Amino acid sequence: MKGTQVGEFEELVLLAIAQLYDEAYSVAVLELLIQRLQRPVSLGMVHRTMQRLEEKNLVASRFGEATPERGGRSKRLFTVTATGEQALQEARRVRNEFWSAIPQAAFNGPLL
Amino acid sequence: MSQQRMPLHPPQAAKRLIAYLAADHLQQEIVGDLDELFQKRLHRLGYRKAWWLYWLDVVGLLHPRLWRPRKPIATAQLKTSLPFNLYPSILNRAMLQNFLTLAGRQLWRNRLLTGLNMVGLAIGLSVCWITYRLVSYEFAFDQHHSNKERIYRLVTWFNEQGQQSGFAGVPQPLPTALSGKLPSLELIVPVQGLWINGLRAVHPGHKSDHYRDVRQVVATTTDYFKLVDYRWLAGSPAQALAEPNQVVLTQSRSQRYFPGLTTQQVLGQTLTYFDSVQVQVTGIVADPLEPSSFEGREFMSLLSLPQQAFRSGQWDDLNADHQLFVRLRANANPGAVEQQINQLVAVHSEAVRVKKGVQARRHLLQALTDIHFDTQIGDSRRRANRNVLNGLMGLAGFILLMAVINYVNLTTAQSPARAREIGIRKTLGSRRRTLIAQFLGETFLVTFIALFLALVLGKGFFIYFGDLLPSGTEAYLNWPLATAFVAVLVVGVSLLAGSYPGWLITRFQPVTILRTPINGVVLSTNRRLTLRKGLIVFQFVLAQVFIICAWLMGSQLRYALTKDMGFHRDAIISMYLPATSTNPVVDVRKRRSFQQQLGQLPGVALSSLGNPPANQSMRLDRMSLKKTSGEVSVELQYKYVDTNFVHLYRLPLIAGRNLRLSDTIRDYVLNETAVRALGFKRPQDAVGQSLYAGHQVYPIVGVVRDFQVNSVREPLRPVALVTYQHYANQINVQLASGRPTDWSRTLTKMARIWSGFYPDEPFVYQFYDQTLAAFYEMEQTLSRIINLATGVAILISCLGLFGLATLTAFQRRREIGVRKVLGASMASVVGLLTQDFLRLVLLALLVASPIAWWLMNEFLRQYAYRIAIEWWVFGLTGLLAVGIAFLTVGFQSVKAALMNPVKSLRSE
Repeated sequence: MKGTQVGEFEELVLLAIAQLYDEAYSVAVLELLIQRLQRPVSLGMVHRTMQRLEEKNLVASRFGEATPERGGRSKRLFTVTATGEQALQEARRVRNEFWSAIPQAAFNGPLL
Repeated sequence: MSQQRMPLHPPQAAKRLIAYLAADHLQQEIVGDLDELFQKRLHRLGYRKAWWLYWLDVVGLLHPRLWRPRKPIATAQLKTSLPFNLYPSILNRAMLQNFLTLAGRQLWRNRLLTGLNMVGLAIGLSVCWITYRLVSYEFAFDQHHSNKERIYRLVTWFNEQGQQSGFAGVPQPLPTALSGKLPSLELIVPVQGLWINGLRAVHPGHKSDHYRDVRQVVATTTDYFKLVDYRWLAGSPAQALAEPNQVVLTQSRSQRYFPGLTTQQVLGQTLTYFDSVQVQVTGIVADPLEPSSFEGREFMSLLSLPQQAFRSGQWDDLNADHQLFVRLRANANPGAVEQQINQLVAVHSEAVRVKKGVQARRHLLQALTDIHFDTQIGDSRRRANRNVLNGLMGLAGFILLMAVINYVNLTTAQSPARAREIGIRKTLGSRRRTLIAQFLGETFLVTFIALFLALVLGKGFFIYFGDLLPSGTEAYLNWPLATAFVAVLVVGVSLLAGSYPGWLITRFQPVTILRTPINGVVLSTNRRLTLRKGLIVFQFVLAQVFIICAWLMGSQLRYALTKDMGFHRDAIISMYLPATSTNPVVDVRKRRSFQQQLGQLPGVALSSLGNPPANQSMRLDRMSLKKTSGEVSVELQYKYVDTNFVHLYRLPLIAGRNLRLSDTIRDYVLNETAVRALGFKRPQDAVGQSLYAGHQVYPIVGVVRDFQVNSVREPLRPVALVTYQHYANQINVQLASGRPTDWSRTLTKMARIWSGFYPDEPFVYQFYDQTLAAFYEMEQTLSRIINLATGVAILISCLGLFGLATLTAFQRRREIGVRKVLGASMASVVGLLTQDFLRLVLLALLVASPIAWWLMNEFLRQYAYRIAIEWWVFGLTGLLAVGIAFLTVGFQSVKAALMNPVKSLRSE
């Protein structure tokens, strides 16, 4: 279905937002991604992806509290919408189907 | 101060950059994020690393999404739920229809201004179009030849007594001497231009047609067709010119001589050149379509020529008709080849040898693609001047710019009226981009219609002024290039003319526009008024420069045509007497008796065999006078005349006597300049002295008053009148009556005598004053072009001024109404409306005068005799411009002043 299709990185960001639940804002997502993926992720990438997700209506945002270390600027907190959840489920289903369809021989090396 | 106590800030430049770039809705969030990350990293990694990572993050953020305004969320869902797009593109069908309707209405409502704009743009575009046609034609010359970068023409460069000059011909023995000597030369092709005075085409039915004055005939070798590509319709390039008495024709010539025959049938037919050389057609080629410096249309084999062209002849005898083309091998160095050629020629020719470090003559390789533009190498073919072409392009650009300025001026002046529309559309949700697109679209529409008008105008130009352009210009059109040019022109003009008004008018806040009362002029702030005025001044500067130049050029031309050249020129006709025999003595005798018979006619007062006093050809000879103090040597121009010359042209002898009639030179009559150049104080002193020309010595017997021997470009020159009847192949006849009505009878009688002497030749005569006028053909052409440009410039400026005056009168009608009610006179109202414009025109005059003065000073410098640039020309031009401007503006002003104030004041 068009509109709910998500890319790989989009999926990861979406999962991160879901995991962080009420505390999902850009810096937190960034840190979580770096921690999980063990590779550098840029703030710009996270921002752009979250914007894209919002445009696709997969996440919703609201302004959160302002902390002194942010120079008094408020965070934007994200939550996964119902459509977002559907998209995640869909992606997972597709993956699972693929996994279950892989013949065992494929990853166990050639049968010689 | 220690490091720890300093407040540690993130890089301020990066912060400012991101704050500047980020879209409003993202700014707070992003800057906050960056700050938070910075603080965290500060603890973990230290200031330096955190500082760098901050920058890295900023760079990573650079992406259109950073500054793109917020997209409406979830348009995807709206799209599915709503039947239409909220922000349709202007290319959407319904939107396009709406746009066209609106544009049509808008343009129609202001049809006067639309019309003015269209006419202005059409004129500008047509000027560009015509210039494009000319320039593209000229620059297409020789661009289509294969291997064009390896083809050269060998030319001659003279350096005699510091006088440098180029010449297209080469010594006749050169091709033979070169062949096989230089391995770098792949092809050596001698090409001799021929002018055929008599050509006979023998038809299969044994009757024959006779043609006179056949041009574009060349004699060459088989290699010519390896050098230049032709499409062969019959015959083969390898065999066509291998033997003597063979000729290859282009299709057009073949159809001219052998109408009705197919190309295959023409092969083997016979042509007789010079009424004596019989040649057989061995090939037919298609006429070349692209402009080319290879102008030949009939190619005769060189071996057919009786005078053994390019095989005999002297090394120091040069003729512009003997040209030599070469093709170098791919890796050859032209400079080295040139050197080798000169070394080879130096063996044979004294002049090419270097003596005392001076080389009087050398041969140069001229690249094929330069031939059409090289103005230094003398040749009979028409050449184009790159500077003139560039100047014309500049001129066309300026005229188009004037039209664009008009458009911008008129459209911005209209903006108060349109502001309301824009305000409402903005309120209803139109985006700025759409509005600008609409403005550009309207401009495009106007430009597009103007383009068609321009093409019609261009066609008209080719019909009425086509002779100003080189022949072939109209026929040549490179369609893909022309289409691209027109497309770029239309799009460019639309963008140039439409973007500023569009940007200006869509800039305003709808609230400001809609809140002000009707007719409140919210937009005409001072700044824009100044811009508009500046543009008007610019236009009038151009127009006035044109007026002054046209005027002064015209005066110079009139001066040149009517200047007293020192001799009588009315009611004189001249004819060229053809050579009919190989023995010059027979010809001289024939001319004499022809002259005698003419002299018996009652309508003929006097006749003289020989050169006229002024003509465009000249022959210079160095003569010297031996004095006790040493030798004085002077370059004298020879005039071959007879004893009647001084009487016919009424040149008074101021010392000594006239020439004595003789077949050869026996004595000299000099003019005053020559006498002065030879160092005599009084003309009388020269009489009796002897002049040496080489080994020949003749006495000076008389001195005549000075007269012009060429156009007014040239100063007076030293002249020697001599009798030498072999060269006197022209007859000048003074008609007895001064009344043109009496002339035709005399001319009929002269024609009868002519046909008795020269039955094969047409009776062609020319009035001498017309011959003199022909000296100034270039000036006349230039003058016509400038006059045309002046007309166009004035017209466009006036269109703009008229439109602006109309608008001003309309916008100020309420003010005028109030003034009239309060008792203002009509004159004061007209003055009120016109004085602003007149001031601008006068300001333009101040700018234009020095520019025009400089230009004309440069132009007039090429004339030895010229008019003075008088100050009143500038004054009168200013008066003229003011007059024109007043007429343009005055009509609208008077109309506004005559309006009943009730009408303008009642509606509010």
